[in-house]
Amino acid sequence: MAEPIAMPRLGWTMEEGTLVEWLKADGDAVEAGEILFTVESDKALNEIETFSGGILRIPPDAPRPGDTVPVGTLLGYLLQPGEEMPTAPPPTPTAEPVPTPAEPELVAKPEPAPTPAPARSAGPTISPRARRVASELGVEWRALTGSGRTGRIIERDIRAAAARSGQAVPAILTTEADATELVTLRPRLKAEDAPAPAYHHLIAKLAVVALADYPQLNAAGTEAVHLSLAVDTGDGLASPVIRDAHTKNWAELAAEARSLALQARRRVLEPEAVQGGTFAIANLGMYGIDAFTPILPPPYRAALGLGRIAERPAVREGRVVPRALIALSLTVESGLLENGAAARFLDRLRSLIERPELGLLD
Amino acid sequence: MPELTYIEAAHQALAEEMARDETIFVVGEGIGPRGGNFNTTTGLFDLYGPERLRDTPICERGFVGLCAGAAMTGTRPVVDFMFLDFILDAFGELINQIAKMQYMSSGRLKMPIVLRGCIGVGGAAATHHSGNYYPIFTHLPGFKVAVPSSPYDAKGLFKTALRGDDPVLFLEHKSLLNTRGEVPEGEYAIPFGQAAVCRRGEHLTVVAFTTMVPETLQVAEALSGEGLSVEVIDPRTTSPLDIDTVLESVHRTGRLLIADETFAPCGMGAEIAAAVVDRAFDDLDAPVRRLNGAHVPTPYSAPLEAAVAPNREDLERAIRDLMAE
Repeated sequence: MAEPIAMPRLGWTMEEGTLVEWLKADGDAVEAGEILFTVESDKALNEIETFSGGILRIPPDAPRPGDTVPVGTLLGYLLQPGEEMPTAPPPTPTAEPVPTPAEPELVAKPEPAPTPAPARSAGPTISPRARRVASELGVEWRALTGSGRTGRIIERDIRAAAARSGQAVPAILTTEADATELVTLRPRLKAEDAPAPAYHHLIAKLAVVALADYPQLNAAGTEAVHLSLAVDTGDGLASPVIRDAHTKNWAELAAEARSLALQARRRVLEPEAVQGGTFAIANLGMYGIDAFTPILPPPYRAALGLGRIAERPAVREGRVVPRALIALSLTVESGLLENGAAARFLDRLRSLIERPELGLLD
Repeated sequence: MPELTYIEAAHQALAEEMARDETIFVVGEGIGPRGGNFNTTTGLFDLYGPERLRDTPICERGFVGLCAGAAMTGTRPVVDFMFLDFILDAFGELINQIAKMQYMSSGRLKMPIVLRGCIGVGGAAATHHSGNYYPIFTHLPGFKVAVPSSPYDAKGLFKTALRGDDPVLFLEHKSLLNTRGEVPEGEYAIPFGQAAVCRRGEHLTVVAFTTMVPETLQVAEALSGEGLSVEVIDPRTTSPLDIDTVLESVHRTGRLLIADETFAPCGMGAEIAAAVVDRAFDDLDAPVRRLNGAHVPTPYSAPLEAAVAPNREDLERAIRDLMAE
């Protein structure tokens, strides 16, 4: 195919150049790398080599040596054997006029209208935090109207939308765990200076371990777990909070839970002691309750309910055997049900209860 | 617990450390028998004499260089600049020698020098006596920079400054000098790089520096009556700067205002905003805002001076504006 040869652009600002001299004649066979012609631009003389071989043809109406022409102007062709020179030369690509230097404006002219602010994305804007919360709660936000300045969707819009659509109506999951191992283990955990931990102390520790994998269930969304542990004061329930439960081993948790329960019964809990929880556990096992669903007060995202541990018939490998079973119920924000986090958390907790030594090691 | 003024608390730290460590000496203008323009050395000349309380002529570059040499050879100079603005005459010694010497000597030379002075806008002191400058020193490697906002912090941070082996800028806002607060009698030191959460809140975080801390606390108290819960953080040192405490707070509140009397460009607010946007982008529910003094030399005229420094009304407006985002 005929390959056009054009006036090259030899510098960022070069608009035109002068064809000084052809170093090959019309009809010559040339090889890649040979110099075809010279060009003068910006007072420098440049030798122009060809990157392909062929037969050089110079149309009769092409610029002559000495002509100054715009960059891109057709100068000739390289043809392969048997090819004809195209009759109509391709249009010169440089139709753009050479810019002339602007005359300084001496007359004041009206300021151009301010450019309108560039349109953002077509959809509504949303704060990074609102986007994160929307994803956690499973809220579709693109159709929402934001209450932030400029209509930005902010966190409270997401939470309101979740509440409106019923997505904030808590969902309840239940399962049953085999606590036989836990029952066997508990008496061996009795220390010389402390009584054996209560079952719900151990399960609280296991729940904290499971939460580390599912921080979405934690109200703060962080690793820091502040555990609210409902306690019967003899005159209603109190829910003191064990701070930084994720940093404590089972013995420390049990000791602190005991101390807080004692303060609750003596009604000497500080008001701060029942605030700031991020995950709640309620235990009604001591009343002989088999199973119940805990309520989910804000800002909790999940609350765990523990029933009593009782020996019941269980089927193992096709045989009915007595096992110590406990009902677990988990009340969660419905978004956590939809994205599967609640189910995976509860299953993880069930397996930790069934092999408790894994979660109580530290 | 006894109540002391800010300057008394800092004085207590200096007096206790001078009694404990005889290599500490103070150099500056009027810090000898006169006891310092701001009573920073009252009574110490009577105890330790001119060897350890050395009055100087007005020649900052000279005595700062002299103290740099003294620090390298095993003593612990405290340079008292009175108004920190005069430190500017010693910038060559400060930045090329004091800040770099430990690095250049691969740690063989120590530079235990404390550079103290009053900073800040107030009292119609005009622009030669109103600078803050801590963002400049924070920008440069080699300095530690303490900007206490309470008597308790002034004593605890001054102790840490006097016991460390690094050059420390210890900067006292002059409108804080006579504020009172509880200071425990016993020994204590406050580590650098540990912010104080001065007030817990849920809706918005204000990181405040020096005199903006007590101002913000007053505004936060007033706004709490409307159910607006503002968290107030005082970084206490700008170098090292405790970003983690800010991040933890923004994680809860989603909104951040940085209140700093000094100029905004390349300042503490810019630094904190960049760090928060970088490390906690998904926690932000609103743009990060700054409240700073006007970017002008401080005027002498009292009404103009009042106009360039942020006050409680400005703080309240900035907080409300950010809540409306």
